[in-house]
Amino acid sequence: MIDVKQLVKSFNDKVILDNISVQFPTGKTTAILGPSGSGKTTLLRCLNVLEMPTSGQISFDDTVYHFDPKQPLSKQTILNLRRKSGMVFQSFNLFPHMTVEQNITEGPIIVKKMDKQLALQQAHSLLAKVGLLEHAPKYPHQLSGGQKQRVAIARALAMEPSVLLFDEPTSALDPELELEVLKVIQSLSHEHNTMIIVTHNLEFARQVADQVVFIDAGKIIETNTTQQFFSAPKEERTREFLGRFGQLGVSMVSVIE
Amino acid sequence: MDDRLVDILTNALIPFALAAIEVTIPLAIISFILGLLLAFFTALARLSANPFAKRGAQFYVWIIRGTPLLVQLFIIFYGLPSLGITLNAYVAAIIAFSLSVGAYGSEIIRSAIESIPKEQWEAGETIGMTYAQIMRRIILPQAARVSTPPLFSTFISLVKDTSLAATVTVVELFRRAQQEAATTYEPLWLYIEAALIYLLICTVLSYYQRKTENYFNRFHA
Repeated sequence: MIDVKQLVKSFNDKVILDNISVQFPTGKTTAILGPSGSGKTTLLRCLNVLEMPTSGQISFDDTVYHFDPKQPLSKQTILNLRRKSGMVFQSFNLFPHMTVEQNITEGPIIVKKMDKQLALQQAHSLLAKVGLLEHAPKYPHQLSGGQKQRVAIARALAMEPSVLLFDEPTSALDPELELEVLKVIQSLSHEHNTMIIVTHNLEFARQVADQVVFIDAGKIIETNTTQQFFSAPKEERTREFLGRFGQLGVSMVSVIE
Repeated sequence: MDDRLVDILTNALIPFALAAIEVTIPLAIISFILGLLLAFFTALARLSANPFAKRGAQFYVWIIRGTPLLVQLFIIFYGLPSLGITLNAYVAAIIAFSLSVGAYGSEIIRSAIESIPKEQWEAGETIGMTYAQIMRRIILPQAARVSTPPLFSTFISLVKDTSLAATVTVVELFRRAQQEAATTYEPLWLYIEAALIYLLICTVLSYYQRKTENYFNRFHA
């Protein structure tokens, strides 16, 4: 379980995350929803310390990390913390100078010092899992956006992180390519990976998430089971949000099922 | 063109070629390799968080880019002896040329590194790579592609700049041409002959530039 307590992130004097406390249960998928600029991506990036939280604490199971500007974490601690999570970016961020399989084996070989043959076998089985085995020797520029994102997911999985973080994983994709990525994420959810997904695709969140966290203006407005969140939200602000964005969400993929 | 002139030009060809092969080309290659190493570490210093490294690198680039190469060469060869440092002309030339390539090259490498999107750093960070691992395996291979054309331009400039070494007694291609011209009174054709040899060397370099670019383009649409 990932336990976030009183997390604050501010840039200069601007508070982006205001005293966030939330739990992400092991084996479950959590969707983080909220309007643009609400801080949902910043929260995700804090979990991976791509953004250094200003204060508060994050625990991964029994390991607790305190953030305090007066006592910055050592580089080694940051690396250890970072290795607990895998990140999938909106813009894929594959390494363009490496083939698909090299993109996936890079972390295991360089960071985990895994045997090269073993890393390659693992990469191939992950590629098979995301349906891209035959693309292993290609370079990223030879792939479609949806294929790139599936490679990025395989790259994150190769590090066997305890949690997978998705930052708007399909926002840069055309609708027809979006579907293939959503399917992969959904199958990972069925396998009980711990996942946290920032998205504004409400229909997708409804179908894939076990839990929904709704953020607005840097604060958590509501944390709820997916069912309750969409059918009987506790907060007025949530109802307003769902009402405003609900109609837009309908056109999205219900094809997934 | 009369027979005498043809004879002069033909007779000059061997000494010119020898001067190019024995002096001009090694001078250019050695200076470029040393300069490139210097450029690389200067670029890293410029990008580092250490204020001393950063300032030091800035100062070096400022001095070298802001003063003429010929003047630097004279300071090193004719000036330093008054401080008790007397250098072989060949060594003085290599030092001056390497310092020059180091300064110009460092700006090329620095800007190439900075041109790689910060998302590439983040992608490396999220799979747990250290700064050094990301730099070496993710950023530099991509920066190498970006910096290939301007670094080859620097190399080509350097080949031509080696002719400045003639002024500090190094008998390279241009000095050889001066000597031939002085004894035969045919400066026009002899200097053109020397120029064509420089052109030939630079043409070969342009060819390798294209090959290198093609190599890097395999991963780029």
